[in-house]
Amino acid sequence: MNRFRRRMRAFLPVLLLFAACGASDPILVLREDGSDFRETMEGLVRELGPEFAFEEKIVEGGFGPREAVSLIAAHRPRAMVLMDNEAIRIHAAAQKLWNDSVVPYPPAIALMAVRVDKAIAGVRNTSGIFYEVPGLTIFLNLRALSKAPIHKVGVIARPYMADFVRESAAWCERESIRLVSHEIPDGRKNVARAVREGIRRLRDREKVDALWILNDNYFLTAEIIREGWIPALERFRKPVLVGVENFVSPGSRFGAYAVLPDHYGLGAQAAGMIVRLKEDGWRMGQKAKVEHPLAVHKVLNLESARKSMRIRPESLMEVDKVVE
Amino acid sequence: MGHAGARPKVFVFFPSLARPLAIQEALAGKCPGLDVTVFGRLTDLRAMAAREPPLAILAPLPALGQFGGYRPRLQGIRNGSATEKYVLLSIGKPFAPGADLGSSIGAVGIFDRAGMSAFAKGIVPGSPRINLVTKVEDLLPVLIFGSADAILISETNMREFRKKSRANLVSTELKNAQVGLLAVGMRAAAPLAGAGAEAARGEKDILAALKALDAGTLALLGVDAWQ
Repeated sequence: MNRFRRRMRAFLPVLLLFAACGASDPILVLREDGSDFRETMEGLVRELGPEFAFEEKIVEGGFGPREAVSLIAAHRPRAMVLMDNEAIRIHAAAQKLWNDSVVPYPPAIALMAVRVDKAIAGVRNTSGIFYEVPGLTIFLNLRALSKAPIHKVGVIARPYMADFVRESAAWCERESIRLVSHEIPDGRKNVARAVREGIRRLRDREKVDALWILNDNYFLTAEIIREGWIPALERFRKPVLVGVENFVSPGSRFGAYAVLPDHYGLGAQAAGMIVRLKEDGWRMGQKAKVEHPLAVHKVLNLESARKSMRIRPESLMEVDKVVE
Repeated sequence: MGHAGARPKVFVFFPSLARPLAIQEALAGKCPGLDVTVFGRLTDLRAMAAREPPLAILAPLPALGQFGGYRPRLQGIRNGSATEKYVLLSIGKPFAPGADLGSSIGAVGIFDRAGMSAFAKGIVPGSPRINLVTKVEDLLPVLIFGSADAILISETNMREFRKKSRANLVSTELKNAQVGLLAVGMRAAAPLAGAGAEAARGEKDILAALKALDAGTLALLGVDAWQ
């Protein structure tokens, strides 16, 4: 399907043009460049269909809130889609510059941003989709794959992610999974050592059934991976769940199962939110919530997985990519 | 189908929990004489079918109807029936269709948005909003994270979700919710005589290969026989 996707992606500009010609509802997209963003855009455009016209602006040097205001004034979009934290920052500042008394500033949907809930806090008329795959989604996929029961999952986090972990734990309770967090305080000097200690504690004292490694760059420097995670994980012997595909590549000695955002699916989900906005007369409710991503992409490192769990063979049919 | 001897092209659209590539590999292994592509998303199938029309499309019968140039030649059956029941699945309590004007249901898209809305309205009373997803597996998060009040799902997939989730999944029966199983649609005769003869050979090859599928491969397509 990759070859197919490449071929279809080549037609995306044609789709955009087609959409722009016959459509009635303009949508302004502020986004970063890169293949993940293009794939999300593809999901958005193709799932919305030709009733919507898209104006895309790649956010790069020199593009700021004033330029965003000019774009909005020129195109009068019904709604905006913001991809990445920088697009959200520009949108928030542009919203303050806009004079709402003439034409209201359009509602916006933010995605592909780190902690989108925090990024849009205080920004009016803006909703979004988390980029972080919820722990529960990951654990349910693990439970489908593993013959051993998954009752308790460990996670190492810093205080910045504490609310995210707490919310994840609350969701997990509904599925009878306990999420146990080992928190490493800010300012800890030897973080690699703290990671090793945390993994030991989760393994020996908490006796977790799996370990979830958050996509937090603070813990994922080359040094901390080399001196913290890898030596401790060699003795962990339980499934290690990650959110980066490279961490399950052959020979990575890191994760067994990666559950990643499905970028086309993110675009499709945003398309659904835009349709609902349209049905509501382009008004976003006061309580517009940030949604969890629904579609994920699953990659299994078969060698690592076999060392850490007994796999249900029939479940491999549900894994998007198996690496050996 | 561009030259003599080319393998007849077959497109498959069957939303299921198995990934499309796994179904494709299984079909390609059993039908080496066919050029099979399995699509997980309707938009992919529509785009590709418009550009390179295949000789046959395999899709759930209602979805096949949207490809005008294809007429059903084989109908998949399971346990003697050509249809399967769809239900509404919700958490904690049954979903009352029509009781709440603001309610929404999640569903996998087998038509475009307008078509899907019409399809769901034919099954679910009360005209709830439709929250479309592109993969069957996405429906479970829709339910668990409250993106919709209920999901529209086949009984087969409901059983699979009950294996995956410990949540209290409650099903609500629906009248008129028998949905056609996978069917095989063949492209209408090609305009040129030579191409028509080649298409006829291809059609014969496709039907023979599909009829020879073993039980395990048929199960991947949600059927156990053809009629």
